[in-house]
Amino acid sequence: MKKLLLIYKFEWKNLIANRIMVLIFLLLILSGLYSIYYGQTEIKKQTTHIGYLKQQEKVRLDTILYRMKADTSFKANKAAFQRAQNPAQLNRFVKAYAINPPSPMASLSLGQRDLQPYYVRLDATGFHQQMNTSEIKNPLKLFTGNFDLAFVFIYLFPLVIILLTYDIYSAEKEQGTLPLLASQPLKVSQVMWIKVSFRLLTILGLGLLLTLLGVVLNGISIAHNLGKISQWMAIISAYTLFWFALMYGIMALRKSSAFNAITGLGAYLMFTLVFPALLNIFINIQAPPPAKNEMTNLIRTRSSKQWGNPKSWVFKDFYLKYPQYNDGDTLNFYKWLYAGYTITDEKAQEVNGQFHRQIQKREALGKQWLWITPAVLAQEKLNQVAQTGHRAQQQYLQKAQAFHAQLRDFYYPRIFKNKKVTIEEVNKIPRYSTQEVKRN
Amino acid sequence: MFKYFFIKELKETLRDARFQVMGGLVFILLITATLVGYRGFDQLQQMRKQAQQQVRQEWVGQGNKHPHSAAHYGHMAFKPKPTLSFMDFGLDSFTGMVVYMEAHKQNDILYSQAQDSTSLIRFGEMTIAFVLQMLMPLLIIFLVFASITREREGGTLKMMVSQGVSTRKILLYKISSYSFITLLLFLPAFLIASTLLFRQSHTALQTHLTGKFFTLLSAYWAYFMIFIVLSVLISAFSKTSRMALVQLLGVWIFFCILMPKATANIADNLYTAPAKYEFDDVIKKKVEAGIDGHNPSDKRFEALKQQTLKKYGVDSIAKLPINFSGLAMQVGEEYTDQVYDQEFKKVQQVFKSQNRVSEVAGLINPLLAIRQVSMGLAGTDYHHHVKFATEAENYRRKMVKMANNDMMVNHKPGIAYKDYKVGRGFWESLPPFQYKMASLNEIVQQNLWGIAALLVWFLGGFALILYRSSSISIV
Amino acid sequence: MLEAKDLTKTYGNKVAVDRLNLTIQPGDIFCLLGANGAGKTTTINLFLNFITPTEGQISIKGIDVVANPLETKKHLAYIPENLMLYPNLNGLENLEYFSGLAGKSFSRDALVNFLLEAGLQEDAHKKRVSKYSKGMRQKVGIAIALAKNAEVLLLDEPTSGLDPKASNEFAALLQKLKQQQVATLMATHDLFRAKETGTHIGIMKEGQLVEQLTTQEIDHSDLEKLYLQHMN
Repeated sequence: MKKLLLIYKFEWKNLIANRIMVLIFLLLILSGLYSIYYGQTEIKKQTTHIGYLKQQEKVRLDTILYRMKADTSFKANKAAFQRAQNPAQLNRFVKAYAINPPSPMASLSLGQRDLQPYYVRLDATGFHQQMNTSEIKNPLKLFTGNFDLAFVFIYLFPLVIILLTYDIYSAEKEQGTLPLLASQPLKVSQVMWIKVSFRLLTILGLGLLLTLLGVVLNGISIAHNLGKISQWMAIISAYTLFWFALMYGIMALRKSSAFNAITGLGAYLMFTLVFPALLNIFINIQAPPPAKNEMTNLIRTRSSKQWGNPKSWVFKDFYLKYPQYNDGDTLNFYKWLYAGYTITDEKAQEVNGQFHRQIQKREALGKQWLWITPAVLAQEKLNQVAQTGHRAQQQYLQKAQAFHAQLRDFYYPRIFKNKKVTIEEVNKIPRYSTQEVKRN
Repeated sequence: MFKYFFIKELKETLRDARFQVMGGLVFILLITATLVGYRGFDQLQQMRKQAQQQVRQEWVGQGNKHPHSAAHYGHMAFKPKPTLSFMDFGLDSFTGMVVYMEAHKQNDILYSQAQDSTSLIRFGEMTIAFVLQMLMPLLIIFLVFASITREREGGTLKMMVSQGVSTRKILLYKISSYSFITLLLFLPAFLIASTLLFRQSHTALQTHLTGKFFTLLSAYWAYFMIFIVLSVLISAFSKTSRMALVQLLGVWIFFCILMPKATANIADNLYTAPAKYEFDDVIKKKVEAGIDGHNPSDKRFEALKQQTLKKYGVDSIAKLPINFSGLAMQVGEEYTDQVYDQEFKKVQQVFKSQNRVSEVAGLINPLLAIRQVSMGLAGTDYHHHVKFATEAENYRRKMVKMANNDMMVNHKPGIAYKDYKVGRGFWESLPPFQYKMASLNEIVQQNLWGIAALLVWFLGGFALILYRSSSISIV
Repeated sequence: MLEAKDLTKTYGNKVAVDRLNLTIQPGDIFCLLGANGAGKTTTINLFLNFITPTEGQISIKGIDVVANPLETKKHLAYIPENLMLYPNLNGLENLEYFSGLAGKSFSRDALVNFLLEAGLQEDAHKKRVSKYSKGMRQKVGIAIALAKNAEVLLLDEPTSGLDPKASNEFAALLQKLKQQQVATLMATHDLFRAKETGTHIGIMKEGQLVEQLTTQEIDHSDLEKLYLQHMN
């Protein structure tokens, strides 16, 4: 124990005295701080947008309420009142936003949040039709990716670990201090262990420090997110341990410093760049991304047929499936329109199911092979903790679709039963509930 | 004299076990990247080509209907994979690949591959560009870091100088030997690539293919030379091989890992693009209230009506010799187009300003320079994306205008909408959608920063060799 | 042949070589003696223009070394103290390379002869240098010098670390070159060899040439006494 502390003390002095090492640590901490700041700005942008959209939603509902309350003896007010009462027109006017709010830890690992939509404007018309939009994004930015805390851990930490460990043994040999060390009454391997453990503790401490900084600077409540934070720490600790184990293995070969550095960096290259890229190719060949243009084609073909055929063309299918709405009316414009939306949406749902299966196949393949690259594995896990991964997005879309079904359940009976919407019912219009985890 | 030097460097390198392992690895990866890159490209290209043909057939064979209905049915434009894109996927996986073109509105370009992938795609794609941009510099560093320090440590530098060779010559010889060895590594892949490339018959959409290919080749050669010169210089001015290696690895990490991300993110914070809903709101507002906010759509409609009536000297729409709805729609369409153009320009300007940050940063980081030049030549950069979007939009306008004009001239008043129809001949008069890549000249102009940065690095490196080589310590 | 006039080299305020005056004629073997750090290697490096003098003139065959570094190198051959050569090449290839750099090209037989003349066994010629002992590497160095057919030989402790037999063979080679009127400047710690092989002896201390004499003037034990006297 005494020896352990002695060596730790000596190593600490060595570390502080090495100007390059101190510089590297400073750079690492600076990168960490920048990444925290950057993650924060990205998420802040999204929350500002979300806040604005929620407010817009409220403004629209208030407008409806105002129109319904207005004095209808004026001609202009009356027209507005009638529009507000008509469920089909009301549906188009209100629109709600299905929102995927950032989870508390999202700013630490932005994951796919910049790539995927986090808000969709929805009404009771076709769901898949309304999903066909994309956010305005600079593709170059998407291509280079995010400088978030997860990036610092996954890309930069291994490099520092390699730098810290590549010459633990070989430097002693090359400086000629090894025989001196070996002549002392303790095993050389023991000394090496202690040296490695010192560096491991330093790096783990730094990881903990940066995580805590990220948590505190982002105002994430520790009490509410203790589980997530500890999961996060567990992931980065495991990842750090992996790199130390690897470097220890390389060290154990007792080759020169240059050999260790090159082998370590070679492994880094393989695990963070080459294997992920090869795996990506493998998945693309085994299960190529779905050709989603089929969806656009389906929708436009359906829509063209609907407008090009007599109204009965739509009603025939629709009333067969939804006899509860069949009151024999085959002329009403709104009924015809909404019946068409539903039928098209059902067809689209089938196509979407195919896409979904293909995407799941891709995901399953990824899961099966991810172990070959710990870097991606760690990234995926961090995204899971931050709820910014592909999975979280899928869940959000499912939720959005369920919400769409709620909207449909509200408007369709009123449209097809020719019911007006009353002022009392305005408050019953479904609103998307995010069940947001509190951000403190 | 150079002959002896060159043979010795070649022998030494080829016999070095480290080089054998790493060079072999990079070589294999490069060949793999070429083959799978080509396969992936071919798959996508075939798919999109077929889809485009299918859409065309559907357009031509849509049967007899009102031209405006056809404009609503619309058309789809698939972003073709440029022939050279198999060498550098560039932004293609992150941009949409198809746009639905219909009357009245511009749609988004949809369905990027990245959206259907896990975070795996953020780790990079295995293409020639990836290997050449990221891995090759590292191989060069491993190859060259000890080039001078080892000679100094082993006393052979002293021997060489005592044999009457100047240090400047030694550095230049080293550089030329290593550039040859690098060439040996990447030339086979380029040969395979060029066979794959020129074997293709359907290179119609690609202009200046040969020129682009060889420009790409020389750009990469310049990029490697930059790293070779840099590594030789750092080796020459380092005391020990270990110091040289650590410094060069630091440079690589900074160039290839740290800086690209940092610049793109800083640029993103510097210039803010609007969110999609904000953009849509502005468009809607401007179309309704007029671009200047004082010319609402109903007023515009009324003005057009009066103007048209006056032009034909009649007092009601029914008496007009033309179909007023067709005219009004076309005029409305053109007004909306103006608004779109204005707003899209703004967004594109924001993105171009963002990308400019990375371009200028090429002066600090040659990776950013080559990345930009390579994507540009491969036809997968932002400029090409904008070009595709613009051409698709122009095609949409052409289609809509054709429909509106026909309606205006031929759909006489009094005939019901459902009774006026046109057929195959009319559909065929719209030429198929054809997207032409930018010419070599255009690409060079778009990537002046990148090319300039590569040149500055290249010439700067050699200037340093020439002016500082005499101050290298021999002992 | 070799000449230094008031040759001075300073690093900051440390004087490495202090107003050194030296002349070596063809056929001379000048042995520089002195403690570590006395300035012997610096003197040789100055003749090679590896470092530039702070003051004074230095010339080879009357040609100024600083003004015409490449010209002077045509006339000299040099063997450093610890010559590592290129470990992945064999002895023959190393020799071919260095003589090629000097602008000479030889047939394979001629190269083999140089190596043999330098005392390297033929079966070692095609082994990689990484397998060589120090003495074998030194012999390749001698072969390089022989191949250059130089008039001036600069040697930096060539025999340190060599076994007595190799050392003896080396001395014989130097004698042979002396017959060919080669001027040799050799830094060494080996007093015995200096007396046996050298024609002149100089003792350096703190950058100064404190003693200069011919080997005929002094016997071996007196040389040692003189040396130690200066060192204390």
